[in-house]
Amino acid sequence: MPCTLRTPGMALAFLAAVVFWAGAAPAEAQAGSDTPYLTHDQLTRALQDLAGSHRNLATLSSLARTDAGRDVWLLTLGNASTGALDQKPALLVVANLEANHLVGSATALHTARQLLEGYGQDDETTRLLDERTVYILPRMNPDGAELNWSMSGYEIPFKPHLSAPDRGGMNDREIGRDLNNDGVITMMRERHPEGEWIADDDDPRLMRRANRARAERGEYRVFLEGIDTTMVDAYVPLGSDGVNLNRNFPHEYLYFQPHVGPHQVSEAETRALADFMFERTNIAAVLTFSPYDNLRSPTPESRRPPEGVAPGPPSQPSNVQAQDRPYFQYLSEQFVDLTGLRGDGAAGEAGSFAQFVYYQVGIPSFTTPVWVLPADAPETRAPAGQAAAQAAQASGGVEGDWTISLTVEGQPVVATLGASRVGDGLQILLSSPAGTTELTGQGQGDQFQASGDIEGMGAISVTGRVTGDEVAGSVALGPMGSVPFTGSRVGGGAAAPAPAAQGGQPRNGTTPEHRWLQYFDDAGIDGFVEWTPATHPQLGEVEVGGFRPNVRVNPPAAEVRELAEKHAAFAIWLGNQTGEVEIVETRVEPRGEGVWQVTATLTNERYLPTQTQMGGRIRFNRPVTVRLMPAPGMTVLTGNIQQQTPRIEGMGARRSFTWLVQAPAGTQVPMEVFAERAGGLQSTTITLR
Amino acid sequence: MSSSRTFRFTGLLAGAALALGALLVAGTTPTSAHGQFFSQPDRDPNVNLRWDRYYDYDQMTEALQLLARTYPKFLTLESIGQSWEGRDIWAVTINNPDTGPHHEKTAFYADANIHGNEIQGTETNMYLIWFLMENYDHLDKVRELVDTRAFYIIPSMNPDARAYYFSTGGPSRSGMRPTDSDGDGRASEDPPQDLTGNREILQMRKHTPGTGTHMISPIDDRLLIVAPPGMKGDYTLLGSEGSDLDGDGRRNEDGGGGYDINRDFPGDWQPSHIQGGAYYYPFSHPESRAIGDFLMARPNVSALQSWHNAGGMILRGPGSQYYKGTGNYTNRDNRTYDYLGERGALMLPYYRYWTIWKDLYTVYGGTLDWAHDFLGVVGFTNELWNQSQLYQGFWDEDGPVPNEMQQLFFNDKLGMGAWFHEWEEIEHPELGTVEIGGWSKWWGRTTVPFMIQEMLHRNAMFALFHADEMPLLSFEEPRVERISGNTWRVTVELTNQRAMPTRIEAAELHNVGQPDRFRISGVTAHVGGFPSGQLQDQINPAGGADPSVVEVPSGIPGMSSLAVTWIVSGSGEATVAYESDKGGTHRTTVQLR
Repeated sequence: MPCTLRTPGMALAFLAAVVFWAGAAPAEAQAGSDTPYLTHDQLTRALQDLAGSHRNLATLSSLARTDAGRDVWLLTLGNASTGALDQKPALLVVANLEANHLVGSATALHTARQLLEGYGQDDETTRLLDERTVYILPRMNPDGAELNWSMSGYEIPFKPHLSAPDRGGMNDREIGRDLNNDGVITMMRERHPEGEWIADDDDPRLMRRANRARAERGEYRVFLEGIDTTMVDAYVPLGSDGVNLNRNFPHEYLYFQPHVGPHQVSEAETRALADFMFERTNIAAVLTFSPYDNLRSPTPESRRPPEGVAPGPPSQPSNVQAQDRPYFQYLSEQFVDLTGLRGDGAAGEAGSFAQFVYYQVGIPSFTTPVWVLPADAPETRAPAGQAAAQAAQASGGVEGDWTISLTVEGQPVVATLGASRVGDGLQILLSSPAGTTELTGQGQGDQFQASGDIEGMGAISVTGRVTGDEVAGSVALGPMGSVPFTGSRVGGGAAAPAPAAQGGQPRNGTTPEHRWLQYFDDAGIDGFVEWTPATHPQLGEVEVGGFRPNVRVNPPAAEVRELAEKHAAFAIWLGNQTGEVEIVETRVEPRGEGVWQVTATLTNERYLPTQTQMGGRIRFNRPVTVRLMPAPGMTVLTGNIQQQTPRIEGMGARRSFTWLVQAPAGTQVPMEVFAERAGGLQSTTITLR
Repeated sequence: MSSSRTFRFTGLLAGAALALGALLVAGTTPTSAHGQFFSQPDRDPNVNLRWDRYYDYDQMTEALQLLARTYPKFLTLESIGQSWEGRDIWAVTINNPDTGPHHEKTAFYADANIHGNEIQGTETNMYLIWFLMENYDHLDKVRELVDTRAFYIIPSMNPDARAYYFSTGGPSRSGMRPTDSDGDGRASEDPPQDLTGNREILQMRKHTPGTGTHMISPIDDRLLIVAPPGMKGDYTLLGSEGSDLDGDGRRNEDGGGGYDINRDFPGDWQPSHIQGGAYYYPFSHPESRAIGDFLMARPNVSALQSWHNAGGMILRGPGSQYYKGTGNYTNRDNRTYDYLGERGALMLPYYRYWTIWKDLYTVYGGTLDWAHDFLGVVGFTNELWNQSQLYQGFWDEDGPVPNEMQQLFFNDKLGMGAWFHEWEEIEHPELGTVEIGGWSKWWGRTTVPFMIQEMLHRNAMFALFHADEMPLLSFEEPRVERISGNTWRVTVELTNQRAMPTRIEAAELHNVGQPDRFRISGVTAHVGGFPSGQLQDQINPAGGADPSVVEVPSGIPGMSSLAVTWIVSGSGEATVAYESDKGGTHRTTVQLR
C-alpha cells in the first residue's frame, strides 16, 4: 500500500503530520499588557527594562543574529564586584528552542526577574548572584516564536528555514489552511466509504480508528484542516524543512529525517549556542526548558537510543555514566520536591540540546517541559517505581492508534497504525486513504513487530517502539526496502486498558487526549473546537474540529506565574550546587640545606564534583591544574612543576599536591590553581620559612 | 594477485566495449584534428610552470593568478572564505561560457591539502588546471571535457598549515587554531621549534655515555640502534626539536592545532571522545565550513576527488564498519565506485583501491561519507606517493637490511644525501649540548622532486577519467504513434553514455536533492510512465499527481537508456525535458505526426 500513496488524501494526511506535533498560540498569546507570552519586541523591552533597572547585577547582550535579523538575547546575571563573571562557575538557563514553547521563555524571564528582585532579600538568591554567574537565554528561536503571532492559528515548533536544501521536493508545501475561518488550524473529517475512523465511545469528540476485529466499521477519513497542495498551486512560506532547533544538535542526530536541519548545528542560533558551551568554560550546569524531560524521573538505566538513530560505534554512550547517575537521581528528587511535578518524563530526545550538553560537552544537563498535563503529574508522590509503572500502563503499552509519517520514494506519506491484542498476539492495521493492510505479530513490553502481505507487492513488516505517546519504528516492504517512521498517538484505543486511578479520581477515557479533554472541561478552558460543517474545495462536505493549537503546550496565562516560581526555585538551588575549587591550606616543611617540602590542599565544598565522569572523556575539558610558578633562585627538585587531577568530588572532598623545592629561606613562590568550570584561575603565594 | 589483474583487465575491456557502443549509439566518432601533445619537447607551454618542485601558499596564489590572467575566458579565481589565520581559500572554476553557465553543467570537484603536511595535492590540482588549459587547443578529449563539464578546484583547503609546513616544517596534519593540548588553561604555548633555523623540525638526541638507551649503528654512523640487552647505550632520544617554552617540565606538549579538519564533516560525524581529531561539531572550522557551503550550493557536482598523502591508495567510503549496519554502500553504488577505482589502480602503479574502514582505518566525519550521503556525490581520496615508486621493486621490507639503511642508500645514491640532515651539536636552553638531525620533511611523505611530474600527471589523468565518466545524457529519436485523431502515444528514450548514474542510490534513499524527472509540455498528458510488457506496448504509470511529469528517483544508470511513454492529446509539437540535479537539463522536440 505505501507505494501508491500519491493521492490527494495522502498529501493532506502528510500535512496533518507536520502540524500534529501539537496545534497555534493560545488565546493568551495575543499581545496584552498582563500576558506572560511576549512577542520579540515585548520580550526585548522587558529584558532591557530588567537589565536597565539592575545595572549592578545584569547585562543584556546578543548571542546571535537570526536569519530575519532578530537578536537572540543573552542575559548575564551576577555580582561582578565579587569576581569576574566569566570565571565564576555558571548556571545556564536555555528556553524556547521549540518555536511554540512560549511557557519556557516566560519561565526563563521570570527566573531572571525573581533572581534580581530576590537579591539581598533571599539568602540562597543572594549567595547565587554573589558567588556564581547565571546566563539566561530566554528565547533561542525568536524567528520561530514570532510565528505564534504572525501565524497564530498554527502549531509550529520549527524555525522557518527559507533556504534549506530541498529534500525530495518537500519545501514550500502548505501546512494547513483555515477552511472554517475560525482562526485556527485543527482537523477535518469526511464521511467516506473508505474511511477508517469512527467517533470514540467515551468521548465522541475524539476520533479513533475502527477495529474490524471488534465488528466496527469505519465511517470517516481524517485529515489536517487544509487543502492538498500537490493538486493546487498554493504557497505558504514555511516549508516542511523548517528546522526544529532542538533536533539540530549532534548527539543521536536523526540523519535525513524531516525538521532536523540540513546537517548538525546548521543554524546561526544553534551554532552560537554550541560555541558558547565550549568557549564559556565557566558553565557548570545547564537547565533547558523544552518539551523533553529528564527531571521528573531520571533517565532509565537501560536506556536505548531513540528509534531512527543511526548505528554508531560501541564507544558511543547512550546513557548517563555510572558515576554520574547517583547525582542525576538526587537532583531529580530535589526537582520533584521543589516543583511538585511528578510522573513519567520519558520523551524523545534525539538531537536535542540537553543531550548534546551532557554527552558531548560533558556538563550536567537537565530539561523540563515546565508544564505537563496536570493529571499526568500528580502532586502526590507514588511509591518508588510505581509512578513509572503507572505511566507505562496508562500509555496502553503497545496498543492504541497512531498517526505516523514516513517518506516513500521521496514522497511524504502519513498513515495510521492501529495495534490491538488478539489472543496472545498482536493485530496491526496499517492504513492510508489508499487502503488498509492487516498484519499479525507480537508485542513485548514497549516494542512490537508484525508482518503480512500486500497483494501484488509482497511481504510487508513493521517494527516499532512506543515511548509515552510517541511511536517510532520502520516499515519494510519488498521493493521499497526499510523506511523509518515516527508518529504520535491519536484518538482513543478501544482495546487499551483503563489507566490506573490517580489521586483516587477515576477518569473517563484511556488516552492522553481523553485526559486533556477532561482537563479542559474541568478547568473551563476552550481547548477544543467542536466539529462543525464546512465546504472543502476538493473534498466537498467535511466537518472541521479538534484540539486548538498549542493548548497542550502552553498553560493558560494565569497559571504561568506559579509554575515559573517553582522552576525558578529549582534553578536557584541548582546554581548553588555546582563544584568550586578552593585552596584550603598550603604547608611548608623545612628539610634543611635550603630544601623545603611544599604541600597545597584543595577542596570542593559544594554538592557536585568539579567534573562529570562523562566530562572526563571529552578532550576540551581540562583537569584541575596546580602549578608552582618560577621564583628567583628556586629549583623544583621533584621536577613536577605542574600537577593535575581529573576532578575533585564535592561535599568537602580534598586533594593534596606535594613538591620538593630548593630555595633560600623567605623566597616567595607564586602558585596558580586552574579549575575549569569550577572557579577558573586562582593565585596565591607561598613563603618558604 | 595475477587473477585479480586478469579480472580487472577483463572488466576494463568490457567497459571499453560498452563505451564504444554508447558512442556509436550517439552517432559520434572520435576524431583527432590536431594531434599536438602538450609535452612535445619542441614546444613551451603558455604558462611555464615547473612541475619538479612545490609551491608555498604565496607562490601557489601567484601561480593561480597567472593561470587566471592567461586563460580569463575559462578560469575564474575566487576566495571562498578565510582560514583561521585569515588567508584566502582559493577556488578555481573551469568553464567554457560559450557552452553554458557552470552551474547548469555536470561538475567535477577536487580539493587538497586538508591535512597541512600533505602538500602535493595542491600541485596536483594546479597541474590539473594547467593541463586542461594548455591542451584545450590540442587534444579533442580535453576540449570535450572543458566544453561539456564544469570543474571546481580548491588547490589548498588548509593554507595556514601549508604556510607553517613550508616556513617551519614538522608534522602538522591539523589547522593552526590555538588549542590547549596540555589542559593547563593556556593555548598552544609550547609548540616544537626550529632551533637551528633551517626551516625544519628535526629530531633531538643527547650524548649520554653509559646511561643512554641507544647506540650508534655499526653499519652507518648516522643511525641509532637500541642498545642490546645487557649493554648500556651512549645516546638518549629527546623527541622533536624544541624547548620547554611554558616551563612545566615538558617539551612540545602544546603545539597549535591537534585537530583534524577531515573529521569535521556531517556524514557519520562523531565527537572527539570517539573520533580523535573531531572538534566541537560538524563544520566547526572556517576551512571545512567554506568547503561545506561551497559544495552545498552546487548540486550539479557529481564527482569529488580529495588529494592526500601518502601510501599509494585510491580510497573510497564508507569510513566505518557501523555504516548502515552493513559497513558498505549499496550494491548499485558499489558498482560505480568499483568501475572507477579498479581502473584507477591500473593507471596508478603501486596504488591500491581500498575501502577506508576495511583496508585502512575507521574514519567518522570524513569528506567521502559526507559527499556520498549528504550530496549524492561519488568521491575518492588518493594517498599520493609511496616510496615503492622510488625503489621500483628493490624495496625489501622483510629482508635483513633495516628499512632505514635502505632509505639511506637511496638518499645517498639518488639524492646525493639531500634528504637526511647530519647530526649537528647545539646548546639547548634546558638540556645542555644536544644533537639535532634526521630525516628532512621533504622525505617520506612527499614525492622526491625528480618524480613529481609523473605523480601529478597520473593522478590528474585519474581525475579526468572520473570526470569523463560523469553522466552524459542525450535523447534518442522520439517515437510517435497516432492512436486516433489528436491522441498520440509518445515514447522518448534518454541515453547515459557514461559509467556514472545521474543519481546514486544513496541520494535516492536519503531524499537528497530533487529526484530526476521527465516532463512533457505543449500537449495534454493523460498518463505517463515507463513502457512495459513484452512488446513495450503497455505503460506502467508513474503514479504522480500530474501525468505530464514522470519522476525517476533512481536516475539514469551508467551506460544505459531509459524510455518513458505518454498518452497525450494535442497537435503540432511537444517538448520533452529531462531535469536532473547532476545530469543537467536536456530538451527534445517531438513532432506529432
